[in-house]
Amino acid sequence: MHLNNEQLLELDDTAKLHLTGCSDCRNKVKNIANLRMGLTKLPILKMPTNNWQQTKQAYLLQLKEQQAEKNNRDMKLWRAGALSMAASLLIVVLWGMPKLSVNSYVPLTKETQLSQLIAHNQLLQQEFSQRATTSLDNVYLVQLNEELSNIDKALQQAYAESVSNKEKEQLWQQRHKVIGQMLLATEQQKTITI
Amino acid sequence: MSKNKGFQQEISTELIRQAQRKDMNAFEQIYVTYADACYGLALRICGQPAVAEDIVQESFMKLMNRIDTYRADGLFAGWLSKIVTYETINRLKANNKVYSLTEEQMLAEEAVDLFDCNWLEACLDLDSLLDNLSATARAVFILHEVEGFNHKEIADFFFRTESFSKVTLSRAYKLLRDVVATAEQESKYALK
Repeated sequence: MHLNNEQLLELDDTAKLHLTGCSDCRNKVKNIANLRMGLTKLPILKMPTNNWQQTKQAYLLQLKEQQAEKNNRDMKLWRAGALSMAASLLIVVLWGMPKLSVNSYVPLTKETQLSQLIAHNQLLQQEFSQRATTSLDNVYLVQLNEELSNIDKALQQAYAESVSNKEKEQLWQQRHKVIGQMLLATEQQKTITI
Repeated sequence: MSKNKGFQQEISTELIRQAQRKDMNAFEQIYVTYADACYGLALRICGQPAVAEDIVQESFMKLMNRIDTYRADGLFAGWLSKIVTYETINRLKANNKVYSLTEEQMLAEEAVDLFDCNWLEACLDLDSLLDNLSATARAVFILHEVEGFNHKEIADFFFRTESFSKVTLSRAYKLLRDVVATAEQESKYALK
């Protein structure tokens, strides 16, 4: 029995074996090869215009959109991280604060100074959270944010290990400075956007 | 770069490495080398110049996004032609231009002897001849007979079985042969 059209068009091992003993099928395979040779004469179709610039622009736009999407995701993560860090820090601070009553009031200048510093830090943190509504695509801001996270960790450790007020104050001052820089950076970013 | 044409052209591995480093000049060189081949393949399958241009753009954007995943285990042009083919067939599917074959249609044996002679020899305008095929049949025909994909690869492009590709191809040949035979008869009558 001869090979059918489908077998002739793509020869498998069985079909190849059949060809060795069948001149009719060999002729048909030869005809198919000639048909295919004819198909190689199909003319080359040229693009009407070179669209490279258009393609490049579309690609760059896509990259920009992907980057913005990524930054938004990072920003959301960062906000959640910063808020939880601030909350946990507040808990640690409140836990470590001396319990005051009317009778046990003792004026502590160092403590007062530290409390004021903490309160000011919280205010700055609030202000920054309100301002930082745009995506955090400023590299400098990202660096500052990392620095802030490190200070927060150090502060948590400081309260956990009950280090001296002086060391705590230094850390709070560092934090104060970094948030101040972040606020300044968001202000500049806002100005550039405008 | 080689002196071949279309997807037969080869590019250097250094150029591919540059492109993998997202060098836009390298991408441009790849585009200049293969844009016509991609356009030709897309246009022959979909039949619409504007859609074909759009497919080329989409395919190159995919190439630029996925070039990191290219492993030099096959020809770069082959990898690119697969991207273009997928993109083109997806367009056909989106426009409901891909038909299905029933089991009965698959099993129906075509008893006609299609390859007893080289009947394509007399045909001068191959592109017009291929226009007689449906979008699916034209796609299978071009992919198997011109681009050199096998039935398994074509079945993968369409998410169909190999039988679908085999039956579609032999029926496409039958239709083309009928068209050529009719045209020959008409020209004979005209001469008389």
